[in-house]
Amino acid sequence: MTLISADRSGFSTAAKVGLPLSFDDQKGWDAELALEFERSHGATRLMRRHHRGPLMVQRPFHPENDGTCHVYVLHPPGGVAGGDRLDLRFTLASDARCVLTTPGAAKFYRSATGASQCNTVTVASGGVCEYLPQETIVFSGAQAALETLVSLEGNATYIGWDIVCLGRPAAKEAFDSGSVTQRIEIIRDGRPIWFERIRLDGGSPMLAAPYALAGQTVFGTMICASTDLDDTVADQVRAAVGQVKDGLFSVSRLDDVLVCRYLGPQAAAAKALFAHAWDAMRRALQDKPSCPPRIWAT
Amino acid sequence: MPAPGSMMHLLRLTSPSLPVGAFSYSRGLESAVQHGWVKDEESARAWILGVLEHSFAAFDGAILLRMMTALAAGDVGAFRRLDAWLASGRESRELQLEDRRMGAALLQLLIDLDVTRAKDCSNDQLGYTAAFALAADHWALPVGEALRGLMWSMVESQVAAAIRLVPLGQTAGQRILIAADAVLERAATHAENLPDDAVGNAAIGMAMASAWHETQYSRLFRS
Repeated sequence: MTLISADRSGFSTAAKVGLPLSFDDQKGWDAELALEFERSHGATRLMRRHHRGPLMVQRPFHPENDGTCHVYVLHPPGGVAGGDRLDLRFTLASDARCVLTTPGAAKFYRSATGASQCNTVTVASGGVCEYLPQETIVFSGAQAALETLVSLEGNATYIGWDIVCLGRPAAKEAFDSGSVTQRIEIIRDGRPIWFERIRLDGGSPMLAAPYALAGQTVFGTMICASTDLDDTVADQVRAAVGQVKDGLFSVSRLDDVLVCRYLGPQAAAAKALFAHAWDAMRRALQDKPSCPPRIWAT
Repeated sequence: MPAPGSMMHLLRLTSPSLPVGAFSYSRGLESAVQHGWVKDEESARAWILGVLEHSFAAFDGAILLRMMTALAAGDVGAFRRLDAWLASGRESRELQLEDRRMGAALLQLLIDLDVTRAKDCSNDQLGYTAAFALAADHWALPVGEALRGLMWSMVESQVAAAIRLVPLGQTAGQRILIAADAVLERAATHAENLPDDAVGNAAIGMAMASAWHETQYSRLFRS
């Protein structure tokens, strides 16, 4: 999968995607999951799956009238240690629709070496991929690299969020060492339509600075890439989210994407706000309400 | 006309009199003031210089350097790809519009001044940093000077906005600009040494402030 790097000379990180995994098995645990979805007989089916190491899926189900396929992605170890690399690839053929989520938070543990998770999403024309995982907790001292690379064709849609929690405030563990890098890139028909890289070092002044984290420990970015965004979408999302108590929320519609952000103390608050935003986006763009995976309630 | 590479070209390009409307944009500062994040000289200095060093230098700064390298090599395709990359990284609608309007204004000015490469790009929608790179390339400015000039013009217009918004006295504004020198030098060196995969660093609070500005009730600035 070198689609992204092939189109943009500057993106060297993306060039790593798809190269043979080179970690020493003694040091890290590589895990790989590749899922391919196709629409057939009125519903989206998981046609092919490939996994290596501790990444797997539960049996897909179809709770929506339009045949959207819901899949839980499982990482049974639950935590990611130094040297680990998680590589997830979701490929949707024309008109396929899927909702992907996870049953629990991902955790990146303290480690002297880096660990990474890379999600590669490819959606053909007419497809809709909604990637709505639980939060990622980055322990103090972890060195986490989180990447989401999305490639869309034609009028394909991607809705996705990434929620990152720094340290473990409940255990009085501040994010005072280590680092996290989050990178989200979206291209449509080879043209970049969204790029965001956020690098935060443990103990850095940016954690307290209002222009960056403003003293908060949880940040989230939710992106909706659609060719049907109109001027009212941002207002609809704003109205659906309403008054925000735990933390800060913003929404802005750019040319090619709608971006929502959360900054605050609670991953649960971020998820609740983003879930409202998701419902508004679906009503505006897909003419249907959201269908929250039951696992979110447990 | 000043000789190619003359500092006069840089002074002109970074002057507030450059007709690109820089004075009308606050880059989220207006809503940061409204939100109480920026309320005095100290918080204005921390906001402006923090965004400069940790976000602007790592994205616009680092990409300006790559654009000038591409232009020097005559690689217009790479120049356009870098512009597309930068454009896809605008954090909010207003930051996207600001970049596009200022870019269009500077590109038009360069076309009117008969800058050949600008004329070649007359059908493109370039961002401000790309238009600035065309100008710096045309007048043969050293790359490091162009980088520092671009960063200085950002700080200068942010300080002018802070003087109106916080508000601050003119002397406080000058103190921030004086303090900018050391930060700017550090940020420029950082930008010059960034590998490709470390380019870009979004400032979340600034991005959110800019998004809130879209619905702020009373506004002096366009961003």
